[in-house]
Order: sequence, then C-alpha cells, then structure tokens
Amino acid sequence: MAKLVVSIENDVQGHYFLDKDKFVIGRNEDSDICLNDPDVSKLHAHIITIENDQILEDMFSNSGVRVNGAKVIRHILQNNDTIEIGRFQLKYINQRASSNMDFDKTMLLDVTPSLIAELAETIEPSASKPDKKISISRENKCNFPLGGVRGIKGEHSGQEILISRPLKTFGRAGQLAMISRRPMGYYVTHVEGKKSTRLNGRPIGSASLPLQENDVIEIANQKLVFFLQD
Amino acid sequence: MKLRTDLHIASATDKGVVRNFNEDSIAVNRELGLIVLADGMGGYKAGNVASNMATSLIVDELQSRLGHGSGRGSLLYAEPQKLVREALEKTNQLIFRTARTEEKYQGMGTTVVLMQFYDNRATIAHVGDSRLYRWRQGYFEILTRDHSLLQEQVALGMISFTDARYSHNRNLVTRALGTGAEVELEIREIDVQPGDLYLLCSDGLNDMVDDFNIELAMNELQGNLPLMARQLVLMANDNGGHDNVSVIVAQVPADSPPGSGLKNAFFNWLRRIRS
Repeated sequence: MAKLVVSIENDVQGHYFLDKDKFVIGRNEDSDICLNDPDVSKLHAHIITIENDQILEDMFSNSGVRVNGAKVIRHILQNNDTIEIGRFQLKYINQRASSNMDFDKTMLLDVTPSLIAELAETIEPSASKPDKKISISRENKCNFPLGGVRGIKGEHSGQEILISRPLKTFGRAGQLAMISRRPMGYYVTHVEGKKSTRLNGRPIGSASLPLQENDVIEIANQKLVFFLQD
Repeated sequence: MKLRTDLHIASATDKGVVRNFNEDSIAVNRELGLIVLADGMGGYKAGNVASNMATSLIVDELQSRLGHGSGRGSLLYAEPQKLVREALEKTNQLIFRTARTEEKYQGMGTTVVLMQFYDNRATIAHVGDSRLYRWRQGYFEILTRDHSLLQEQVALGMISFTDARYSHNRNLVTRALGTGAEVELEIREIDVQPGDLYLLCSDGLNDMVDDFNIELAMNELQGNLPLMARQLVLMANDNGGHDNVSVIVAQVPADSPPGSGLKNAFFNWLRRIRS
C-alpha cells in the first residue's frame, strides 16, 4: 500500500498509509495527517484514490502545495514524489506507481466505482463525436545522435535536412523512400515505386537497411547523403 | 457495392517486447468489407481465447446473415446498425457463456472495434479502449472514445489532457465484451469518402506512440499499406512495446467511380499526358 513519510528537514515525524479513498491533510486535528504549522491551512490538501491513481489536490490553501519543487493544484502522484506543505516534507512511496509495466495489461474494472456511474450521466451520449482525444503515450527517447541527409542532387540539392521524428519520406508521389529513426540508429526502406531505392548504388528491394555516415541514398531523381550530428 | 471490394487493407499484430503471449486478435474479410480488432483480457491465455472468439464469431455471424450471394446488400442497406448490433450481442453472450462454464476462462473478456463498409458508408462499433482513427484529406482524428476510466476522468476534467500520461489507470476499461450477460455497445454510421484512410488499433499502439506520430506514419506511407502497418507496430516496439500491439489499416481508393479499372487507367493516363 502507498504511504507518506512525513519529515521536517530530513527528521522523520511519522508514516501514514493512504488507506482511505479520500485522505485529508491540514492543520485541523481531525485531518488524516495533522500538520501543526501556522503556514498550513486548516484543510490544506487531500489525496483521492481512484483505482491505481492517487491524486493530490490543493484545497485552496493559503501557502500552496509543491511537488518536487513545483507548485501544483492537482497532481497524479508518482513513486518518490516529495510533497512540500508548510515546513513539512511528505515523501510518497508506492512501488506500484513506479513500474508502469504493471498497469499496461488491459483489465476490466471489477466494480465500476459509483463515482463513474454518477459521472457517466453527465457525459454526453456516445453517438456524438468524441470531444477530446487523449494522447497519453510514453515515448522513449532516442539516445542515438541526431542524423539527417544532405541533398546533392534533385529537390533538396544543397540542403541539410535533420530527421528528428520517427520517419521521413523522400522522393515524390509514386516514388518514395523512407528514412526511419530508431533507438539503435537510422534505417532506409523503399516505400513505393517500380524503381527501387538505391543505397550506395545498390537497389535495396524490400529490406530496411541501417545507414552509416556518408551513405548515398537515391530515390526518384534525388541523391542524398546521410550524416550524423556530433 | 464496388467500394468495399476495392478497399486496400493491411494489418499487423505483435506480442510486443514485454509480454509472452499475444492476446490481440484481428480479422479481415474483404468479401464483407469487414475489419475487426479485439484485445483480450483474462487469466493465462484466456484473453487470447476471448479475443479470438470475438473476431471469428463476429465475422461468422455477419457472413451468415449477409450470405455470399448477390442479395447481401439489401439487409445492410435496410438496417446496417441492427445487423452489427445483433452480431456483437450474440458474440457477447457466447463469450460470456464460455467464460462461465469453463473455469480456466472465468472472467475473460475482450475489447472490440470494427468497421463494416457498405457502399459510401460504414458502420463503426466499439467496446473498450481499442480505437478507430481516420485520416481524411490531411485531417487526422479519432472516431471512437475509449470506454476507460482514464477517458472518463479526462472527460470530466478530473485529470487534464496532459496529466493523463502520468496516470496509472490507462488500462482499466469500463466496458468489455463477454464479461456480462448484457453489453453496452457504441455503434454509429459514418460516411466514407474516396481517399479515406482508417486505422483500427489496440491500446498497445496508442499507449506507446503519440497520436502525432501515428498521424505521421499514416500521412507518409499511404503508398505502401503493409509497410504502414508494420511501421506502426515497429514504432510501438521501439518505444518499449509494453503491450501487445495490433493494427488494421483500410484505405478507400482515391479513384473509385463505378466503371472498369481499365477505363480508369485510361483516363488517368489521358490526364497525365494532358498535364
């Protein structure tokens, strides 16, 4: 179970398990964590548990809430977050919230919380267009140096084009090659066109081939030289 | 009826980098103009049983109702949504019954997203967090709304759009096929235009690859749909591949007026030499 370790300047004051759906932090004595400090508001913040998430919310406190140094109004707690309220530090410990892997498996909510049922009524009927898309992917950063191509013939002649996104195509409609950026490096693949993309003079067929510095790529009427940034 | 048989379709499915089994299933039936994708859940391999049952039962059910013969269109034109709804409801019951009668399948279920093309329209349906995206003349959008806790939290403003990526609730679905005697389906009709490109995917794609980059692949690789499908899966795996990942892409040819392919080819040629 998740817990908070409360301390003042590394001097641990106590441990609190987040064992309630709504966990109240404030100066009031009936708070779940009572912090005795004039800078702490009577009802300062609370932590709401919604399935796997624990969400910290500032309850309009006077002095505010910081997490890892940044002021927050609402924050989904992550393992090892440090919450600062008044002169107290509250360290959030939840191993499960550190390894995202545990939550990647699709699961049905066993008991749909009544909250959601209530809320569902306020949500528009499904027939209408979804109003918000949620883009929530967690992309890995490429550690490989950034690369690109220099045009030596055709449309991009004399230009340097950096390829920072996962892929970019070259050529023209009907005659295209793709250069893809992957964690381990850059690759060239023929996309379309009867005449194969060439790498250093050789047709590459349907293969995806890794690129080395100074490799020459030919597609349509273009000739491009691959380079890596230092 | 020309359009659906002219569809270009490609698909790819992979267990990802982390998981041992692939519990996603996909089905493509060109004859029916039907594409189905399901992401199963449940105990040891049961998720695969559920998703497999879903894709095959839905195809079988629609196949038997629409038949192979010439009369297949009439039912679709009359009540397209009803047909799909009934097929999904029946599938739901069959999975639910199996889950109840066999202990090893207890609690199994699956998401599903499908598209049934007919002429210049399509019926789309989904349950759970598998998605349908559309690329139309450079405009990219999502046509489904996840039946997931996270989506509901976002919709209600409990979690902001940008904070959603830090949530641990991303994979809790609020609806699934086969987990109850009844299922709440989301079904609607959409128009279909020449040049449209559709993407069905399991959450293994959109959890690992930003919409922004899904769009990029759809935009750039239209000349090679099998490559597009493989590339999307590859991008998910390159980003960590935490889950099974499956995609089906379906493209409506830009030029599909009635008439023979030969005639079109001739006019295209004519257009080219005149320009």
